[in-house]
Amino acid sequence: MMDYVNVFVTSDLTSSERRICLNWTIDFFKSRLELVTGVPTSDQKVWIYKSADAAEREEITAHGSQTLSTYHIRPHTRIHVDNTNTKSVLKELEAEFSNSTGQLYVIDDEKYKQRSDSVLKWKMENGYGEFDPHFQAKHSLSAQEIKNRAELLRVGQSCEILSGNTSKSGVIKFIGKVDEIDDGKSIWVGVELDLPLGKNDGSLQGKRIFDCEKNHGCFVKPSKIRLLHTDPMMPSPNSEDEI
Amino acid sequence: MEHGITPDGYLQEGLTRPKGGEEGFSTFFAETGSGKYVPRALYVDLEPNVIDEVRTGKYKNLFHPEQLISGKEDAANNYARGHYTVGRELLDDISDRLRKMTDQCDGLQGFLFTHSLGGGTGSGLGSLLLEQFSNDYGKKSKLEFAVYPAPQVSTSVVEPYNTVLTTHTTLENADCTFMVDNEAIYEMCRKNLNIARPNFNNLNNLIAQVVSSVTASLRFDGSLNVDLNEFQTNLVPYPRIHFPLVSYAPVMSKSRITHEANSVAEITAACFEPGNQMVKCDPRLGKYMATCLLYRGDVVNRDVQNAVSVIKSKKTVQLVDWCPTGFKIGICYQKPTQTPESELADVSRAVCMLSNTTAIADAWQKVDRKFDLMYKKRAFVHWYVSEGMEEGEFAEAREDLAALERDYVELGADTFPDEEEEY
Repeated sequence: MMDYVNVFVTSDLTSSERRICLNWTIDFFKSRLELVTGVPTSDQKVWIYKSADAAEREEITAHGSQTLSTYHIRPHTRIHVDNTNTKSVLKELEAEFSNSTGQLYVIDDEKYKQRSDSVLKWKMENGYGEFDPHFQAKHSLSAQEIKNRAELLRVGQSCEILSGNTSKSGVIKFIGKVDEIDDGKSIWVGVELDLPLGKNDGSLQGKRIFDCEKNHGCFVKPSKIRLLHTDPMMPSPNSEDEI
Repeated sequence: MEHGITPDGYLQEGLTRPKGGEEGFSTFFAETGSGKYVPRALYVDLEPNVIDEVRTGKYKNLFHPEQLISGKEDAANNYARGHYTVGRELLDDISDRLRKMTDQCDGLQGFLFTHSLGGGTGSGLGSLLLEQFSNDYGKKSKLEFAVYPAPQVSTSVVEPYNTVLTTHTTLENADCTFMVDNEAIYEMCRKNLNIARPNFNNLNNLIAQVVSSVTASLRFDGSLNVDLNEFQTNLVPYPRIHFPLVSYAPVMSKSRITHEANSVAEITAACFEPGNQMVKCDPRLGKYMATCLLYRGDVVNRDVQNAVSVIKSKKTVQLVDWCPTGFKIGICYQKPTQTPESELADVSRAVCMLSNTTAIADAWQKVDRKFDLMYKKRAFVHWYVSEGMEEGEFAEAREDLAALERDYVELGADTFPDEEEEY
């Protein structure tokens, strides 16, 4: 009768559920553990936990042809493999994995362009994305739309900022370019929020753009703004914008 | 079980025909002369003891002994053993038995593969079979469910090698690969099903539910059906980009279900929550190329349309706007069935979402990074070389994966400027 049980095998770098046979010899078992954990049999210190949760554990000290049935191994207990060789490649890898050091290999631009089955080739052949002759036109149209929207907004208007399925209400305090965000490339709207859901107090990197309390200020693109019902106190649209 | 078949292959008492209609039912089952139903499935492993469990277990009479193939010696977590040495010895046997089975099909549409990418058999033999099937059956579609390495902890030390090698080999041969990562499923079991220490049975149960949802439209009649080939057409804009992210809802324990309304809108929204994804990645950082929503059970089209328009209006769901694919809906009236052992609650409706998103590239990058660190030291490469593999195959495979990563970058590039920023 072969007795198989499922156990959890863990080591510094691995964790897995494995099926083991209690009739295996200790030598054979350790050779299997090497293939899973990468720890050579000579460097292994193997522990059997009393259960999956317990801290109590017992080291496998039996040798050679003795079988695993020497130990009491129940289904779904944990078996841990310690690596006694502190200078091993595995120890180096462990440190590198957790630090995510090392350069990720990235394909060379030229090599990628030469491939016949790449997404880049496909886009070029079919005129998709940037290879669409109308791409630039569509792009600038949307920039124009942004500009149009910005022109409808006035300082002092009540508004909502749309983001995902939530919205935040507030009052527009500023409309214009902000060097601190994108070197003055596009138009931003500064809003004083009713609730402290913002990211600043109306100043960015030490430069004050409008006044409000801490965490009540935020800057978004004009397309994110929806105007709320007109407020009788609102300045007339002809008043000067504070740009 | 969903078709009203008992574990020994006969109809449940009181049924005169299997559930699912003649067409639907026969996709995955063949009827023998004696009124017994046999699944059109082949189980393959390099070592005997897992398949022995099927041979002696509850379903031992369901399968024909020829459908259960096992060798004597396992792949020892080594792609090279699964692909070249040990695995190759079984290849002819497998091909013969598969041929017998496909000869019994009236209209063979394709194959559904389930395997892991991290171990030796799944990666090595799995990719060998996919290659072989491409040779033998040409353009028939090949869909895969692949267990993908979890981002943090590997199941074996050489898992990154096996994954990169098998992905390179199958990239050309598989038409659509649904990935499932153990860590993601683990967390679903722990958080949603309250299983303190999930084991393979719990994980497999959840994966089976997903496979069942994906195949439901092939097995049952429904109002809006999506078939095997349609998956590909809808989800895969370009052959290499065939790794949709799978999400499933509701994943809920029997004790929690009574507190939830579980409406179409809710389960649809839940599919966009990271907690319902089968692979750990953040779709909010990626762009969607295509999405398939496969509903089961008590679902009407109007509710689905409403739920979908809500999703589309969300700013967190960004689409690749130039990509020639779209949103596809499937509805199958048969609600999901739970096995008695399952922790999953019995529900009247469920949804499985398949979405091709650039966010999945994150999963490749994590494995590639580990591969690079190991390969730089040539750590464990000798295990493969001693099985007759050439070292050059490592570099070649890695190059292909680097190109795949770049492919995803190209897909996400050149959409209009992001309006999401807030300062």
